[in-house]
Amino acid sequence: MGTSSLQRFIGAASSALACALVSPWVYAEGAPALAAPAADASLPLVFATVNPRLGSEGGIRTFDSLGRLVFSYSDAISPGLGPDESSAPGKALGVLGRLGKAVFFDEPLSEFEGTAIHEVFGHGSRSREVGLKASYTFTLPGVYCFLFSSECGARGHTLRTDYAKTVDAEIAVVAGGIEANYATAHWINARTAAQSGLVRYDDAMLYTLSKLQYAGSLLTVRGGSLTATVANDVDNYALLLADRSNRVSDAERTSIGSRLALASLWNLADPMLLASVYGLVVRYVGLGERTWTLPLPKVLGATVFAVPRFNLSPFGAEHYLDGFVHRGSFTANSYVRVGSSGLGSYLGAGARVFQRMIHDRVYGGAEVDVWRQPELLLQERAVYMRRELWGWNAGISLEWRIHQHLGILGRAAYKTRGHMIGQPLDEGVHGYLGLSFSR
Amino acid sequence: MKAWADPAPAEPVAVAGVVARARMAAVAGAALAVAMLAPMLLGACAEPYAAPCRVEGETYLVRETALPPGVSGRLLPRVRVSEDGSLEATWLATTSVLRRNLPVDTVTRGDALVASADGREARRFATAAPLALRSRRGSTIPLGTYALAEGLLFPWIEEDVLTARDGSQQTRSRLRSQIVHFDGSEAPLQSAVAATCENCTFAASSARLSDSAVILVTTRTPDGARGLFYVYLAKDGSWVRTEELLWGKQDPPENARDPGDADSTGRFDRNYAVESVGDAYIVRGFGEERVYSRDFQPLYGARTFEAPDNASVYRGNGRLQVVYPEPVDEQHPLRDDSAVGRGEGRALYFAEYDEKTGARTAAPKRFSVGAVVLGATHLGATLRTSAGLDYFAWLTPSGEKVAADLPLAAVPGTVVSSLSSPPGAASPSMLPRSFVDYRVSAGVVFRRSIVCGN
Repeated sequence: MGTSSLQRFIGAASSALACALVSPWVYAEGAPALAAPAADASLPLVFATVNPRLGSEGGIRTFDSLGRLVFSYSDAISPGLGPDESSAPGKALGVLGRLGKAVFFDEPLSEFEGTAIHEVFGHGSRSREVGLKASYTFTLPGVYCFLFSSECGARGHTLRTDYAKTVDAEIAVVAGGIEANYATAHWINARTAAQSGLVRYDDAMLYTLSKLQYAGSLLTVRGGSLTATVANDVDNYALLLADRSNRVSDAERTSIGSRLALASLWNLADPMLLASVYGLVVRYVGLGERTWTLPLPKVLGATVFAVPRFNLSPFGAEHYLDGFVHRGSFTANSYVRVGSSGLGSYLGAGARVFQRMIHDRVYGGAEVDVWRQPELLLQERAVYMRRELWGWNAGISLEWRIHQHLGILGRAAYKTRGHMIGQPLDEGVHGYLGLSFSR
Repeated sequence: MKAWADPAPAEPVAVAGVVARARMAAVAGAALAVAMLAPMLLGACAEPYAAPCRVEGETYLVRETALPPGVSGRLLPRVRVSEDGSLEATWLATTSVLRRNLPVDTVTRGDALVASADGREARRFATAAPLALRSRRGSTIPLGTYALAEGLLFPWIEEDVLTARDGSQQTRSRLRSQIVHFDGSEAPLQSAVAATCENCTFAASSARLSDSAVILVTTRTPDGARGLFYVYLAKDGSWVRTEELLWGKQDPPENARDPGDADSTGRFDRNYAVESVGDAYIVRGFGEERVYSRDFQPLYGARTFEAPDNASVYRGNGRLQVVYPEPVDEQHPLRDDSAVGRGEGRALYFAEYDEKTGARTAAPKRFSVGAVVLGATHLGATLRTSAGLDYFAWLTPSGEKVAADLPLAAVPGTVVSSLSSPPGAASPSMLPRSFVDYRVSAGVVFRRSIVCGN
């Protein structure tokens, strides 16, 4: 399939998926064009206060922004610095050069960023949230590990002082790493929508790594081994799911693993993932483009973008369908989510306006989520029969650009007890306060 | 959007800009505050977790931390809750005496507490041990004491070494018992030829119901051969019959499961044990159990049940119910005091057997995680984790766990426990339900009331 046809396919698929989810936003926004400057058409770099009790989202955004800042090195390299690629040898040299740069520089950077998010704002954030202390170790990233290290298994570890005291808390800690990676992918999607489909190669790389890091483990999980002393996050997660649902026999654990493996196909059935891999291989390495634009459809003047999202909740695999809409300074997302583990009934929906200029230099956002889930019990021990409860989250965010490039950003929300990707488990106020930088 | 580097406007405009910015900041701050506070007020409607069980009362019925005058030690605390819910807690007191210039402990006294089901009426008493027991200097294995209507029953094992003319020695073991009435008088010493064994040793276990008692003795000869007999005692402590138990004579294989009887004398690594469960006795062998009526006749055609190791057994709804910790590989690290499912937790299971067929009626159900089951009764169990934390688990009649484990405060120093339900507990209704958790050591009797469901 050629470049243009693949892009058309992605655009058409995205458009079809988007229709149901984004139409409320489009009609709410109305037809008149919004005269927002081009500079506002992306989510800013955010460096937020990092308090795990207030959710890991601030930390994820901070590390994501740090990564983007580091990758801005490539902007300083002139595109004309390489060989003339009009000839075949020049083209081969250019491709080899970019491949080398990707393998020896970009991928290790991206991998380290993803690993740091996984450990520090995944396992670590959930650990601190449930009252445990955490520290971290990291191995050499990417190809350097294979070249210079005798041990290249997990690229990072979170060392905790103890296990959590209840299975609900423990399963959140264990799944927290993968959850943080999927939350990162979600923010890249939001940014892609806010940039009308513009994708940078470093975003594509981080997105691919975030989605694929545990894809193999998820596809092959068989419910965890009761005798294995070393297991990865997915095996541990499956075992904890069995424990939490009190389905601990071999047959029950195998069934839980099989369902999880099947459910994880949703993680891979992602046009953005396909587009990222394609973009990295063809557009970046092959053609030398550092950015490219997804051919996202436009509805009533707004860019719409639909993409699946996957997560490991304390109740089992969770399938999201995200719809993004962007127009002018307005970027919003709505989603539905439903669980497939068979260990309980859990579903939900929500919407979030990431940013909308509400005054000169002031951007506002809002969010609302609602769900019905088996009760999360963070203090109680050995609970095997649970109520199903409704829960909700609501909040606002404000960004005040006190300078052309510098702003103050805050997010404040309140949620009831329940699981939301990247947010605290317990009831209470959450959010963050930080600085934002716009180019 | 205006560029930040615009030339400074004239003074009035600058003031207007400051005012606008201040207003904007105020609006933004107010919006943030509303976002934080309004949902908090709405959040007051959220349903918190409400534990269905609670501890309603905790009290020490006996708390004697100091040894009484003339007593050098205390041992063999026992606790038994009758079918009517009344408590009997007993222990022995010892005094150190010299035998061939070496100190030996001799049993000098029996102590008991008898309390009503609600714990309000408690009677504490003690009698001297029988002279036959008091006068022994070593080579004696006391088996505790029981509070009968007439006085305290003291069973014990005597071991005497007999030296033949050729110098060879053999051990003669003898089971004896005697009642000491509350007025201090002693009933006749009970013994029987059938309860005597030449050249073998005894290990014993005992239990009693309101109108009878049973002492079960495992015998072992120097060549390892085992035997099993019991003594059935009437309500007044007299020996009614002494008979061999044939089904337990088989020598257990090396990998046989141990009954794990806390009341046994612990002389052998494997012996048989007897317990009272409801209005019946149960004899626990090596991976098999047999139920006996209150007059110690085998029930239901002498069927055996294969209950797991260290199972706490009780009867309910015509079924034999057990709760037990799953066996774990000792080489495997054990963690049961935290989230489990990592392959390191020891599950606690509920299982049920049909008394008429001996067959298990359903697959075992996991109801919690812990190291040991401390006590079990119809609809409830107490457990202890390897970290020493105690919990209560509420179960449905079919063994499903209800809500979360209820944490129980530690009772330092107590070594035996009993969980019971007041009379009528076997009714199918679950709500409301009350339980009594007793923790006993020699000199300490602690009572805790647990209420579930309302």
